[in-house]
Amino acid sequence: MTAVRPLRPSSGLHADPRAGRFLGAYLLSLLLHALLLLALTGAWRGTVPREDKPPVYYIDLVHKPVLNPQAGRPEPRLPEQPVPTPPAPVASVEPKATIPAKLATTGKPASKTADSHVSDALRKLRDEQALQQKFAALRQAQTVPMDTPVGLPDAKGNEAGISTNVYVQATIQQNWALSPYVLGDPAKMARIEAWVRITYGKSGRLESFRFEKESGDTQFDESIKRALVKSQQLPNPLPVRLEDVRLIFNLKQLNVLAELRR
Amino acid sequence: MRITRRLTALLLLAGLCWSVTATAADLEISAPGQQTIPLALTRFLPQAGAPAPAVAEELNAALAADLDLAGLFRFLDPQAFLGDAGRIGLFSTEVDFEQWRLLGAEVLIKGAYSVQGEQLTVEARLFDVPNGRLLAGRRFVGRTLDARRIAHAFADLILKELTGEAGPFDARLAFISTRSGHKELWLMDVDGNNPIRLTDHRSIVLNPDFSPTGKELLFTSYRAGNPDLYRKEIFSGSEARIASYAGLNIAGRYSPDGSTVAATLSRDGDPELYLLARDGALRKRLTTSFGIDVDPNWSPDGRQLAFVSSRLGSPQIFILTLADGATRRLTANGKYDATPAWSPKGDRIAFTRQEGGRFDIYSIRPDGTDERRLTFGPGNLEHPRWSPDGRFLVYSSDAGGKKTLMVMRADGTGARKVTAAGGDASHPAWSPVW
Repeated sequence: MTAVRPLRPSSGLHADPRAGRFLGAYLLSLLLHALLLLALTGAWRGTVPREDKPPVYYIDLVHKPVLNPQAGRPEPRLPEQPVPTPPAPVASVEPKATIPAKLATTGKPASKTADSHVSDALRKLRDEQALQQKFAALRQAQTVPMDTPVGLPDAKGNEAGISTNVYVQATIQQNWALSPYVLGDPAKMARIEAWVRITYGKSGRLESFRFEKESGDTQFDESIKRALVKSQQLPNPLPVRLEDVRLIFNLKQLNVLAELRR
Repeated sequence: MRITRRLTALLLLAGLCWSVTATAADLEISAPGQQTIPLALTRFLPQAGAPAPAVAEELNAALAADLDLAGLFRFLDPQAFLGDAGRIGLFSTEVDFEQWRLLGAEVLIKGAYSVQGEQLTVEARLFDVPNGRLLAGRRFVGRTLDARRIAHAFADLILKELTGEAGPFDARLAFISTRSGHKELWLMDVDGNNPIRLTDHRSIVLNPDFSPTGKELLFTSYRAGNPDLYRKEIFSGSEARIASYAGLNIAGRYSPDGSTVAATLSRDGDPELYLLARDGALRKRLTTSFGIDVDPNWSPDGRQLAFVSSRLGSPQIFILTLADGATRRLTANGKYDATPAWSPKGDRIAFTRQEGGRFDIYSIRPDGTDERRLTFGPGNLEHPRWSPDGRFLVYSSDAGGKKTLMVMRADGTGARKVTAAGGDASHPAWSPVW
């Protein structure tokens, strides 16, 4: 006689004990995988994985005008340095020199020469240690971190390079040759200024320039004209057309330097 | 509907243009990238007649020395010059400016000469390289002996073109030299060449000063046993003793218009400042004080005199206003200040100060501010006098034992020796440009 099993609903999860074991194994596996994933990503510690910004090692500030220059610092930021501890103050009382055994046994006083030799040697040693500390502090201060981003201080873009304006400004400045002896009079140097409107095409070609305000000094204005003629073709094309930009030429920086030299 | 569509298209186009054009902004350039002008000085080439390398050498050397002292230029290395340097090219159409642009030259000097017998003809040109145009050019005709003088004249012209004010190189220096065995008055070019002895007093001659025209000299001489004031015409050689009052007759200085002479006389006992006519006639006593009043020096407008006085103890620089006789002290920082020299531009007064047993040269504004030390030895640096354009100072130096003359820029840079060997040289005076 064949035993007849009672019918159970086949859709129920607990219908079959093998199916229940499979489900348990499946959940366990899922849990283990999730834990593994958490362990790998570090999310279990409650931190969000950070996308590291690739370091920028070098940007050619002159030859690469870009539309959206990236930010950076004009000078590398140095790690905070601990203030080097000053060398220990030299004791006002000189340490006593060890009296040689022979002299001690004879009862004669130790010679002053021996004392001074020892104290000199100690002083030299302390001085040398202080010097070494200073050198170490200097070496540490001069170490530039290699991943320091360099770019324009106020830029907000993401391209390695400098802005079109700065590029044009730097090129024209480099081509501007004027000796302070041409003007001579420091008072004149302090107030002289000329304004020029310029337009550069995208090819880097100077399309036009006109004096909006002349300085009143022929030689000064002539030197500006020569600088603009020398800059009529920029070494690189521009990312944008530079239209009707006003260039202000003056000698403020020279005056500051002259003041500093005094 | 059509209008709206067109308007939209226009707006889109404008937006597109805006997106590829940088916004207008002010860019400030507050210092030139190069503080010297790149200069290409080519060798003067023979134009006609036989080549005279010595003449070309003199022309180039004198021109280079003058322009170097001017401090305006950076000389390009002649080794780098290309083919155009070997061509005469006296017109802008004949010059290959592209070659010079390639070298970075901003100004170019070209020249040619021809020698026929004793006559020297020099064609000299100054070109603006970026713009490819002639800035200045001149033909000079003279003797072969005048080669250096021609170069000085062209250097003056170059400064005139590039700064608006001619240079002082085609001038002369009067000075006192012991080359002949006595302290005599001599004259030479600004670079120390062509020295000529002007006096033969076989005594002691001191303190020369040029008249505003540059044709006469005032000086003090002990020829008659007393320090008397003499006047000498340079070209005729004629000489006259104009002031021989009892006691000192020293440090005569022509007024800027040449009509009067300020000098120190001690006829009344104490050395005081007096105003004399050109012939030495006494016009006015200018100072009355206890202590010596010496070394008068005119302001360019002729209204004031800077001088040295010991009225407060040690020698200091004072300024006297001629109109009302008011006197004010100019220097207050030193213990021993002497030999003031008022710049022809009027903006500064050079003087010497003794510190640590040694003299150095200083300058100060006439209002007593902005005192600057210009020299730092070695030796005693004394008797500063300005070039007629106020760009340079000539002075004497005893560094190395022997007294020599030196020239430097008004800011104390570029100092160089100018006297030739032989005897001591001191008390220089720079003539107006001849």
